[in-house]
Amino acid sequence: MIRRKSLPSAHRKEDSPAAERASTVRRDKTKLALRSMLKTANAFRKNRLGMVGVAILIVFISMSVLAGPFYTLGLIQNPDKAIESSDPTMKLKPPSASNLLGTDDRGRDVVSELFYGSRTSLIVGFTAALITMVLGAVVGLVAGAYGRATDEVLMRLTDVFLVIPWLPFAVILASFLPPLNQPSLFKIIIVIGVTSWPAAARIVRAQVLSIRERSFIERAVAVGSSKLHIIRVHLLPNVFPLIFANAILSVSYAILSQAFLSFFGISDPAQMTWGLMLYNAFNFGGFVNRAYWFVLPPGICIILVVLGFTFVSYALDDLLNPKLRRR
Amino acid sequence: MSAVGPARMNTRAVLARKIFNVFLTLLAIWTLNFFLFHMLPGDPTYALLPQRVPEEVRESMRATFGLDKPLLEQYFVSLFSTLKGDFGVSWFYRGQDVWDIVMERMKFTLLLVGTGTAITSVVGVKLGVLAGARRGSYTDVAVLGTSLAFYAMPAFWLSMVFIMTLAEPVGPFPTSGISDPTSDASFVGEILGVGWHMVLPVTAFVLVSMSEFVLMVRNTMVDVLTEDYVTTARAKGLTPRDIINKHAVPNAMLPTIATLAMFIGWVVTGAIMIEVVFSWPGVGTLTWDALRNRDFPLLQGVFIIVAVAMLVANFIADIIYTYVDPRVRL
Repeated sequence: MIRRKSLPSAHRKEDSPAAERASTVRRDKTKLALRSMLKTANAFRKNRLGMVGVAILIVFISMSVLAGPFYTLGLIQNPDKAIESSDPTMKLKPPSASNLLGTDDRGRDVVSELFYGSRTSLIVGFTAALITMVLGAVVGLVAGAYGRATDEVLMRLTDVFLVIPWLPFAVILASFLPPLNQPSLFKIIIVIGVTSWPAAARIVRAQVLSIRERSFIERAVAVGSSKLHIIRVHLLPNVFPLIFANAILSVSYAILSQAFLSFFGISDPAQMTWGLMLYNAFNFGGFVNRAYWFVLPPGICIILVVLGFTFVSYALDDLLNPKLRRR
Repeated sequence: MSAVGPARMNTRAVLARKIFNVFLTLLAIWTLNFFLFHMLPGDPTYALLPQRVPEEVRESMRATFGLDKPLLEQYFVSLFSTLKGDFGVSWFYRGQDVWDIVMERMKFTLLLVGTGTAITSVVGVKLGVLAGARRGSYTDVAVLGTSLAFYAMPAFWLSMVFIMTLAEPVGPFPTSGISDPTSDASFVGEILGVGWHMVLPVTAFVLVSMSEFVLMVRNTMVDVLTEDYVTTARAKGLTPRDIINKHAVPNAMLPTIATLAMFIGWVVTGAIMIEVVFSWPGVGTLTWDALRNRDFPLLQGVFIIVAVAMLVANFIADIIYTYVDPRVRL
């Protein structure tokens, strides 16, 4: 595929002036990239919405990191280990000095559950978003770069995934993936990743189509670069900012999706998540008994973390999207 | 699509192509659905029959369902029966046709979603225009903030909070269902009862589905207001109200309709969860029950029927789009 045999290799270790020049160019490029990154970071700091988002995320990321140490220090319990509390009188207790946010239907401390839930929610969010973006970027880049029949087929496929009713599809997929009848975190991540790439693919493809018309792509085609080379060297770096901003947005989608799946019983009961807390509250008395201390906190956590990722994504979009910058 | 091509394609040909694409998509969804359910290890007889049933009974059941045939034959047989409107028989509601069960519930879903969507589109456009026209004002910040908060909210959680704070015995609204069996049976009373039961679920639906809509309208409004023709209109001395209502809004609606398709799935997901929490007897609750009862034929039927409904909605949006935008010639 790759037709580069006649090009002078810049990677060969020779003390030729060409090699030296190449290394200088590379060093300058790194410096430039670093400088533009710093500039972006500085501009980002001036964006109030973005900074609010970052602050929210720092709180939740520290919660998830601190869950383990806090447990070792005895500050919180581990809800995954003590699935059933030994004391039956501890069930659905309102907030008190020992349980700041009360207890759940099994007598577990709600604050501890929130800490452990943040860990799982963030892991699912980040990994599922990674899968989503990789799939979306590959489909979008290939469809946009190859065009014609490839584009047509891939876009039809994207349409199919776009109109499939998400919730039933995800639930069915989750119940059919091995191991059967045994929800695992891994399975949930796969399901979310596999079902949520179409929007990303569409966005990436649209951007590729506009980049493809520029003259440097024409030049690359004229000197005989292969499609793969063009994708790797020219298209990917140009759509990367867009992919990055979208990846952050899809973290929030993934966290919401995970909560939805939990609510439909697709989650590992031995792995506390905010969605699982709400599932328990809905199905095992917390909701009927109006245990607001058990119902409200997980929902508020979900809202805050989703807002945090959305704010950061908006702020990045503001910075990285030249069309918006002009306004 | 391609930059070069016939300046104006035959309207009928394009329409035919679009309809063909809809059917192609439908076939793909159906195929995916079929193979998904046939990926099940073992066979459905194990889910249907007790463990200790003699092997002959199992065999005869396989024969009844056509499960002993080759996969390709099964594929075409069930494709043709689907085309005839036969979605099979529910496992849980023994003997009942899947199609009948879904249609029985569909009217309740349409009542909820239809009312909700009507309110959403009217109020959503108003709010989006209001916020977009005054970018950066307190109104804009307030509308954006509330929309974002509802956008980040799981629909089932909002419904739970509604019931805990606004439904009986704390508030005046009923907690669940569609009507009160103890109320008088007069026609007007019945309708009022249903309306009263609809208040909370419809409000939850509107709040959850509106956020996406408001954000979209607001952002396209902001885009449109930077266009040159708006500057021209301003230079001509048009009042701000006229600029917004006659020049900006119609143009802002176009991308909104076009991108709406991407969010229909999200709206359906929200509707399912709201139905479940409020025990609304619609397709959402049916899906939930089918999942709990492992009623796969019913689940399959719901899946296909909802997909068709979404495809049709998308297709209509597409047609409306080409109809309202004079630049897009079919």
